[in-house]
Amino acid sequence: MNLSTTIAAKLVPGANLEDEDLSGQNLQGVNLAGAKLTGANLNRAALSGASLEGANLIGTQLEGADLRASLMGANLMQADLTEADLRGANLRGVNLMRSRLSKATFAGAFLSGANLMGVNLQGVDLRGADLRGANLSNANLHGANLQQADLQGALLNEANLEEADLQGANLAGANLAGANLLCAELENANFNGANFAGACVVGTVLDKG
Amino acid sequence: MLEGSILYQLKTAHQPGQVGKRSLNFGVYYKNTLVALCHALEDCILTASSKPLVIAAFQRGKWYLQEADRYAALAEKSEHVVIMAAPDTGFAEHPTSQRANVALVNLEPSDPVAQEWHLMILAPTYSAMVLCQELSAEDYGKSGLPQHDLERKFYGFWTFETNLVQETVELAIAHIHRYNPSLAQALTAQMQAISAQTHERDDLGAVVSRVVTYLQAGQADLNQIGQSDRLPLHQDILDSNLLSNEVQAFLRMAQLTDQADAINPHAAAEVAALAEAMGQLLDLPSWQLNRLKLAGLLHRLAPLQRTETVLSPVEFRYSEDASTAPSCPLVPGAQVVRTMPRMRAIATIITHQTEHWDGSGQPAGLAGDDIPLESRILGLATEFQQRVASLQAETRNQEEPLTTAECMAKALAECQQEQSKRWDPKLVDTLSLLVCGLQQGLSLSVNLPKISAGLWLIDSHCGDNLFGEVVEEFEVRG
Repeated sequence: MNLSTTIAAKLVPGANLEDEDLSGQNLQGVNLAGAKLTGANLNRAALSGASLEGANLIGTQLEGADLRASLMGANLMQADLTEADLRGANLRGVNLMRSRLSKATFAGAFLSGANLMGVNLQGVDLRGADLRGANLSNANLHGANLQQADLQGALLNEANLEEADLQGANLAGANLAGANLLCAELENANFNGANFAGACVVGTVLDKG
Repeated sequence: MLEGSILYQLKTAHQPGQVGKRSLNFGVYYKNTLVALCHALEDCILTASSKPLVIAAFQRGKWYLQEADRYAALAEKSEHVVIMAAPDTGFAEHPTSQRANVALVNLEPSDPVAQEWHLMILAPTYSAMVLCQELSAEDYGKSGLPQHDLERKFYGFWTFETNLVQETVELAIAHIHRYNPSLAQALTAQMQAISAQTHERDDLGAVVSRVVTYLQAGQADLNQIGQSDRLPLHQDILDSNLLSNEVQAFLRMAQLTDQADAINPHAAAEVAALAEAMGQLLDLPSWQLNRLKLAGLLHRLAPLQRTETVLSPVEFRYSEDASTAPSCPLVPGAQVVRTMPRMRAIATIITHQTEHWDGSGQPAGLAGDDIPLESRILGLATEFQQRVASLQAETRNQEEPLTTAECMAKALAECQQEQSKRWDPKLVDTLSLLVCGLQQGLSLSVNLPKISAGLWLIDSHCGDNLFGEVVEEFEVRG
């Protein structure tokens, strides 16, 4: 799809693209660092290789978007990322509170230090994701695939990890106080120094009967 | 987990490190799901071609009484039916309980088995099992005990694996021995008689179709229950538990094919990993990779893989009316997947994995780009994986067995010979690239995903129609 020249001219770092309709556009490799995209429509946009570092994406519609991009430090509060492709994306330190993440793909994404408090990540693909020090307190990770994920020092207190697949994951030093790990798969996971106080571990390898 | 429960004993026998025992992985099941699942597995007894031994644990006699009329019909078609439950009023008096081949075991209320929900069915041609334990009040945690009976929560697993069912039946008989030694003795004799028979299994596809159909009916019922009941119902949670079990039914069916194959027991996981890696090299979008992965895990459901050399295309082709759209024969395994409309794209992908690039393949004789891309990738990944596995098996006992890298090189060369004939030339190049990477140390993660959590594999694109409307007609007819 060709971008109209008026829009193309606006695609610069720090641009104000509030409420702009960019749905389905090919925006590969654009530099929109620090741009304001509040309320913009980027559904199904192709943004691979783009920079959205530090961008304001509060409430932005990104359904089905290809976001294999750098979003370091971006604010994605209340953004709609349903079925978005975030494989290998740089999401360090992003704020994803109250965002919609159903069926988004985060395999191999860098989410260290991200704020994912209370978000719904049910059944999401997080294989091999870097979640070191991420805040996942109260998050819903029911049935999520976290094989080989790095969750060192992550906050998972009160999180729902029921039936989550944590094979080979690193949970060293993670805070799992009050978490629900009912039937979670923990084979080959490392939980040295993890805090399981008040956590439910029924049906896992930690369940000694 | 309650010590002394049957689930606990089985889990202990399958701890990591136990020789010859696969460790079990458990899932969560709501009562709502268990009712539909057990009804489906039980009703398959009515059509099975041999009579099973059935052992069921109902917690309380009152739960059995709700099913007792159904159990009369099941007993008719069974060798023996054993009901374990803590007795309630009317438990022993029901006409089903009085039947000659129905035995009741009155569990002590303190018996851990009284907290379990089991259904074990063992026949020469049919085996299935549901093995669960209810959460304790403490295990429910901060959410507290459910208000609605259908939301009572259990954990455990279910399976079609005959050896596992038999192992569990033995544990159950040992437990029954404490209450009724002569019954235990009789059951042991029956179990031995059943396992001594070597019959081909009844069509598992019919069983899986029934399971999926009953679970889907359960989804439809949820709305009605939600509207008519005074108690609040967490419909979304119950719905996704049913959906998850529909996917599990297919994965468990595929698992049996792998387990029965001594030469290539990891085909599902390895083909899924290879196909996904090829898709990544082709830079396919993540939804397409998802579909490819799920189709890879289920690719062995389509039995054309094994029978194509036996059947000539002529006798295999099916055409009911030459004047209308082209038609293609039914591929039974793929038809089972079609029981679930949300998996339509997966069914199409595995149906056409045996097409050839030059149009000489089956089942529809599609050529070139008319063959769905995922089917082309899957077909090639499957062939390559099978060749590597059989080369490894063939040379294993030789003086100098081939290394994995050598097997891969040989298998790749064979695929290259059929480039542009059987295989899409672009994809053979992609495979070459992948093999090159693997030989240089790239490693693929081939962990089988957790079966009880298959939901992450399904998204809105798994139900897509890959052919558009015109061919849709032929798909339906086909």
